[in-house]
Amino acid sequence: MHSAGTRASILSSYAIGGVFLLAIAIAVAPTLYAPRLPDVSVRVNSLAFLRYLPAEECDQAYIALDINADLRPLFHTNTKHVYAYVTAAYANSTTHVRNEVVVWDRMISSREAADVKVAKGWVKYSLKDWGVGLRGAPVRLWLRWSLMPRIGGLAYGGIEGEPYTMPVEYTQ
Amino acid sequence: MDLIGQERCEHVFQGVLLLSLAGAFGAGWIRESISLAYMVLGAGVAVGFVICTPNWRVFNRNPLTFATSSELAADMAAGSTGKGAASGKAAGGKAGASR
Repeated sequence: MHSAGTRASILSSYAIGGVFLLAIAIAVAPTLYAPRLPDVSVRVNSLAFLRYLPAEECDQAYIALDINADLRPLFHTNTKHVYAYVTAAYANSTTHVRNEVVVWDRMISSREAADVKVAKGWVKYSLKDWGVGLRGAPVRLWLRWSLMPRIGGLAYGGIEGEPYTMPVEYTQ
Repeated sequence: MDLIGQERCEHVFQGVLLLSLAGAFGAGWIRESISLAYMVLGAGVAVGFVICTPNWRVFNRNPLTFATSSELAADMAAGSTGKGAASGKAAGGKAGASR
């Protein structure tokens, strides 16, 4: 600290410490309080078809969803964007007791865009089974999200929607 | 800068840094902007550098007075019994008085 050069050097190292302290505070602070859970409702509006795909030897269903999800509570200082997706989970046999398929997703980059309202939106990805297990399968819909922060680790969450049961027979 | 000025200078910079950290976090939290938080921190650090890097007169109020050569010669003559006692006396007498 005896000359301007050594002072500048030592103060710079303090300042860099401050930069990291601020980063840690920004990353940790939002995890210290429980966030308000968003209001979410997801349900199957209609089914276009449930059919057997001979080429891929599997069942395929094509559905439309009603999504009403106000994800604005998920946005805070450290939220870069929210990846929201709807999964359809079903159990259809003793060998595959837990199947979970992403049928719809959306990237939400601002609080203004976080009030998601989809009425009879046809899914982006059709619901395909690994085999022929979709007929009569009870399907549980979930709206899930992953929170991408600017600093720190990913956070996940989800809320279950209304259950739906597939038709017992192929529709085409 | 004298020795006391150096210590004060370091403490002043730490204080400025902590204050600007608190201000940066608060501003960033309220306006929900990390870039604003870092701008506030950067402004605080800049202020701290202006205060603490140049050799301002405030940090030179306690100059060290050095022993003259005749005093040193007298000390060395008196301290023939042991070096530690002599140097201890010199440091205690002169540097201690300047503080």
